[in-house]
Amino acid sequence: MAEGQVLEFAGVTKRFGALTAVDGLTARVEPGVVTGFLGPNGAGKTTTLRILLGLVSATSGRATIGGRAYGELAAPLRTVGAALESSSFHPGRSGANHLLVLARAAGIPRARVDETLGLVGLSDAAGRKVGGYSLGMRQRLGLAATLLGDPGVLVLDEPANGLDPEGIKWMRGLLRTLAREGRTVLVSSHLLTEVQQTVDALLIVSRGRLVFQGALDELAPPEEYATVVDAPDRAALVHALTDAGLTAQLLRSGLVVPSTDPAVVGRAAADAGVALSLLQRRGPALEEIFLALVDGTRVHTRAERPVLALPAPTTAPVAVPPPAEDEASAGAEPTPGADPGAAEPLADGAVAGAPATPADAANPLAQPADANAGEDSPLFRPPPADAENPAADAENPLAQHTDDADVRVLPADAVNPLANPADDAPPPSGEPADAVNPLANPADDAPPPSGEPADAVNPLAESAADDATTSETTSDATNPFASDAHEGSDAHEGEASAPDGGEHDGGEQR
Amino acid sequence: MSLAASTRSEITKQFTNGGLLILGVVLVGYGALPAAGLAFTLGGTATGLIGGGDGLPQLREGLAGLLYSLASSVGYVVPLLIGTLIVTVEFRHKTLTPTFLATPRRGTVMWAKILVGILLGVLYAAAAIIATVGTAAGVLAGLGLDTELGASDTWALLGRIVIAFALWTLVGVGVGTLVRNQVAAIVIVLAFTQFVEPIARLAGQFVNGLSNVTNYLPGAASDALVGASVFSIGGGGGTSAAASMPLEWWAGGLVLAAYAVVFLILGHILSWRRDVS
Repeated sequence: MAEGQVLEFAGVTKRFGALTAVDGLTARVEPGVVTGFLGPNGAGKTTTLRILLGLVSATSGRATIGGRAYGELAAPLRTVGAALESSSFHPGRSGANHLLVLARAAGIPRARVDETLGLVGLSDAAGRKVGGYSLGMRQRLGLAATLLGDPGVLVLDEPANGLDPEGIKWMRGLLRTLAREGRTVLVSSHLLTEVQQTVDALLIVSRGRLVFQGALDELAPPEEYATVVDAPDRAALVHALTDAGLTAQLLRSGLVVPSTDPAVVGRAAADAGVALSLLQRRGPALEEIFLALVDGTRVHTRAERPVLALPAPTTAPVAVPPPAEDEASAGAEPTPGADPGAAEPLADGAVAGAPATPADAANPLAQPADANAGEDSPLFRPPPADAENPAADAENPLAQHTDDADVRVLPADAVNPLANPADDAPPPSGEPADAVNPLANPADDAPPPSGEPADAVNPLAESAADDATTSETTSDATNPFASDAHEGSDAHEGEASAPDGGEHDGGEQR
Repeated sequence: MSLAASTRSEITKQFTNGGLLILGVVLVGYGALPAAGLAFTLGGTATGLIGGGDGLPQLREGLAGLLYSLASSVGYVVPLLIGTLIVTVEFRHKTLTPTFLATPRRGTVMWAKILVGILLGVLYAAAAIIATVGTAAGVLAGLGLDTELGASDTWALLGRIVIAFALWTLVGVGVGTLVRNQVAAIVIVLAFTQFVEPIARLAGQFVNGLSNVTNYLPGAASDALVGASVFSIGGGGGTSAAASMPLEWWAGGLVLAAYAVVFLILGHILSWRRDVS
């Protein structure tokens, strides 16, 4: 296996005529973790990845893999595996021959083609023409192409598109295994919910600029966590909370007490003798924060980056918060040729409301490789590509493996949140909190980020509590941001974010 | 990553997408049918089978070579199309992305395509020669005419047909790189070879001085390279004052090679190095 490499973007800028697709992007992607590369459609994700891979030339700046540009790599397919789009196949060529063409170019033995097809569960379809493949099968073939050279770096553009729920689950397990083996895994998506169960680190871009870089749990500051509590006798509970000086908001699934620890709420209820039916800690909806970051209604400045798995040759702070005035006029022309270094000092002083949690972040990420990872690896037993065989699910040892391998892989019913709209999230039904959801149109009524960041994020937390929230399993040491209740949030947010993404269509196409 | 690996990859591409065989069948038919038809017509006329009498013995001279050269004078559009498709298919199916990911040095990919183009040109030349010569020689032998298959001149002619095919494929690679759009490239190739150039060359035979220009058209250069062509029947008999002598065979080869080089270089500069998205 090739070694994982550090991917570095240094002031990468790409202009297409008057349009700046990527604007001074400076970021760093470490080996040993899965890094999510997020942003709405048209944010410049695909362009950035294509610049990294030498397919598109940057107007200025440089993107390197282990310090070298893609074109300078001695054995590109053995160093980097990339899957950029699901349509890059000749329809008249069989899946096996598609891989054979690549294997020949990279000097990879023919036997590896069959092996790789087995890894992605396409052995049965190997001889069939790609023109007859489903979208999910094409995704698998694209993934097979990335794995062909057993590279240390994987770059995947929207890999979950078109995969069935089982395939998505398998993909997540695969990516985590690859990262645990010490590889660099960069996965782009326009949906946070799609990757938040998989990724350890995040890069978020909006309109070509980096708006967040850090660990997933750095996305949400602790003040935005709330406690959800419910009792058969709600009136008594409200009374008890009020007596204890707590403010509660009534939602359909219970009462939400913002910025309060469950222990405090439980104590208040116990003191008043109210029997509880629910007591749960909930985090903010990460998707809401993501959207706010993307819209520019929220600015996140990351504190000094915790040292991750590999020694970092350059640990310069890279989070580049866009200037406040730029954010205030959303949609304004981005400053051309913005110097990424100019914003550097800001990165050190954490903005209120966004403290880093270095200890939390460092712990799970610092273990790049599990000694047993290879044995339990989903690589070796992928589910069949044929989604019409539900029986395979039960027999598939992968399901256990992925769960064993890492607790962050969710229970089966959470795997495809969109297909499974949440046991505990009733459909939105005239709930008052829905109506006043300040996030419905964040660009319009959210306060400017410069003045009071804490205030700016508070409304988010409250609205987030409206069932579209995540809960944190704090007891899970290896996994500070595990999210067992994500399915509720996912179903809700997935829908909410879709129209927003649509507005940005078009730019991504170029 | 090396040129050898990249070329092997390109060869694998050509033999795994099904397009090669289809155009091969087209080529065989395209060469064999006119060869059979013309062999019967000209051979029959020469022997008197058609038109009666003693026929036209003067037609017998060079008849075999004329018929054999149909492989390139009619069939050249096929290697031209093949060369074009080698490149445009990558644009059409967006396979340039995996191609350039596997071989980021684009010049290497271009050289691999040139080498594969030459290989395919030779293969198609063989197919075309077998179809054309086989058919024409069979008809000539049936009419009792000399097939000239024992003459070294005939084999030299066939060798020049192979060279012409290889050069035509390279012209096609250049055109495909420049035009990028597959449908547009096919339309341009067919329109030029089947319509524009034949008309221009025909006009060149009747308009004074025009043939000095039309002799440098790629089809005319190709015919000069091969050394015989049905297009020389019309005015080539020396009856038309406007018809000037065609280029020497080697000059024709150089002109055709120049087309290939110019298109390849332009394609590399203007198109091949552009962003792939």
